[in-house]
Amino acid sequence: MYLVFSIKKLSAGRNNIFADCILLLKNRDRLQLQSKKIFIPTSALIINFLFVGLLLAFPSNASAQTVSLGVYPPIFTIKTTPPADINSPFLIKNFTDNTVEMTISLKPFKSGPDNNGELIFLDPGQPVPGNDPLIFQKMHVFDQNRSITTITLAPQEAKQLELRMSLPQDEPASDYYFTILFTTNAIGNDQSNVSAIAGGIGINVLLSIGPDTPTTGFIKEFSSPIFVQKGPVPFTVEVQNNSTHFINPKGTILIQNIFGQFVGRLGILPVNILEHTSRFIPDDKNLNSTQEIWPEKFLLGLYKAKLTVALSDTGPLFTKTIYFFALPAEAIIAVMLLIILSTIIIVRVRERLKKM
Amino acid sequence: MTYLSRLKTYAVKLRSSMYLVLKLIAGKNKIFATRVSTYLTRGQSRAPLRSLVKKIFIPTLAIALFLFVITKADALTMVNGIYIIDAGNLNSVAGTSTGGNNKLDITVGETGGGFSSGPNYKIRAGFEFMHNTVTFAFTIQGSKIDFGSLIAGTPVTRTNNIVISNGSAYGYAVTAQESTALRDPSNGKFIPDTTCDDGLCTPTNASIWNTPTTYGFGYNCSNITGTDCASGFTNSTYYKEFSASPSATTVMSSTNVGKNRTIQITYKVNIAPTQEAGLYGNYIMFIATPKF
Repeated sequence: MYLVFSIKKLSAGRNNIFADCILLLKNRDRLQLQSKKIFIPTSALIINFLFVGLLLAFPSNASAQTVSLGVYPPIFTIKTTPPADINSPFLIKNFTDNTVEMTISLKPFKSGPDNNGELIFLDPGQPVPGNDPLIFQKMHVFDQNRSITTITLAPQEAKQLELRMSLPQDEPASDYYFTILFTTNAIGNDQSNVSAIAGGIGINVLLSIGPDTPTTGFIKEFSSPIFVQKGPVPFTVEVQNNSTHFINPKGTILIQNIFGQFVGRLGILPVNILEHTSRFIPDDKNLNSTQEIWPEKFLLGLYKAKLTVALSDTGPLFTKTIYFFALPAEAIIAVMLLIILSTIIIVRVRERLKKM
Repeated sequence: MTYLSRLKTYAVKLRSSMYLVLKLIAGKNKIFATRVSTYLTRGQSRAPLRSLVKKIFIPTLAIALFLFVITKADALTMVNGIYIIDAGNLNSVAGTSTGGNNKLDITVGETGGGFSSGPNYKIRAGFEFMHNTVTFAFTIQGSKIDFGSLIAGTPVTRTNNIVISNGSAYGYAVTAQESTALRDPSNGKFIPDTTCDDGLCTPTNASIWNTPTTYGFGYNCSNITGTDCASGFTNSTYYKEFSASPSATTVMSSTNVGKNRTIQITYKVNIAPTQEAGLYGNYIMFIATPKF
């Protein structure tokens, strides 16, 4: 309580802390604070004095300068056939001790140039891709029963919001890819030369309005190094989606050795591939790459790898086969050197024995 | 008892215990019978049953429990400039999606993404293959970059950190864009974006900016945790320009799934002697998005 009292004093702008402490030391036997009797030992006062001193000497960073936001889930995939009233809840959280004001917007995006799932927002002037240019007028973010475009979150507050969309019977079939974007408002300063920083965080939405159309596409690339000395072996898998809707291809790579035995199996990660784009796909065990990684270390001989991909649950199915050769050249050279060395030693020993 | 004989006794007991453990691992449950038979075959004095239970059975059971009952702890850490919060999950939101005659239930904090299907729609919340319900979290530590007074030919640098935790998302990217170059609103004058010492740096191409007679405004990115800085920042002397809004350039990205992946952005400004006096400023927006 005394600590609180001291800090209150400090925050009230009184700098004569030392004098306060001396006074308290003098009257430490009985200090009446808020009608309660408190006995304060000398050691407690000294510790407190040190604490206050440290507070003064090492001020912490101002929390007002931190932006920290979290969202869940990071993505929605919605497949619908109109008419439909869709209502999807999600979470936004402010992790700081400051109140944060944010603007909510729906920003359409397209696949980035690296074909690895990164997105690029369309410029505000660009037309909305898809068959309904007014699609974003049919969806709103709701806080309970109120449509909102801004939100204020108290310190540490998490709020559940909803994305609601109402699609009429005559809504044309099309795909729309957009981000529910929360952006903070930067605070400028006219007293100094300042760059004011604002932050934004997004939830991706892949919306596919039907009726379903045929799924088409192909395996754009399936490759590996032709010659390897040892594992792991990376496979590059790129799948092209020629459909008018996004897809989640599923598939496997089966690896056989020279004797036809199955020695490896890799599952491909069921990532989303947007309409008329391609994407590099990693394996389902190793998310930290854009490649499929076969982790086998010791390899010898000819290997056959067969990729099978189903573009959707109902097909179509595609296969592609490649071959690669593995030879642990370093190990073989080391063994050969050892054999040569041993032969030389044996020959010399024999010669010496003959001479003796 | 001599030291040697005591050692032998211990060795025999240890061997007997190990034998029991191996038996247990092999899935044979006749522990008691095995123990008795082991004792008999080793030619040891027949200890009373209570002693056997105390010395052999209980330690063996303890070892077996230690071996087979392995607990797994999952936790996530959320960090900002002030706090580190460790938690199993958020478990802080639950809701129902509705549509026609269908329902979608999402509970944050439970494993697996939410999924619903009906005659006219299907929704999947979260990534099917990500068994993690951690929020996709984004932190900027330091949201006001104050350069103070600027002196011609004396570069000023300031830093802040950007932290990403993308446990529930497969990869992410953080883009940056500036409202304008540093500008004095009172007279409309600009401090232009730097083009670096060789005149080649752009929003996408980094180059060395070391010379005090090279002027402008730019940034460097260095990895603190992880290796998520955009390519090109070979060392701390490499700088890029910020993209002018509405264009944006990726400053940080990863296909990795991780938490507290941190970069440091160094903002640098250097003005020419001909720069007009004034108070210059701009807005820089960092946007974090998960991969789709």
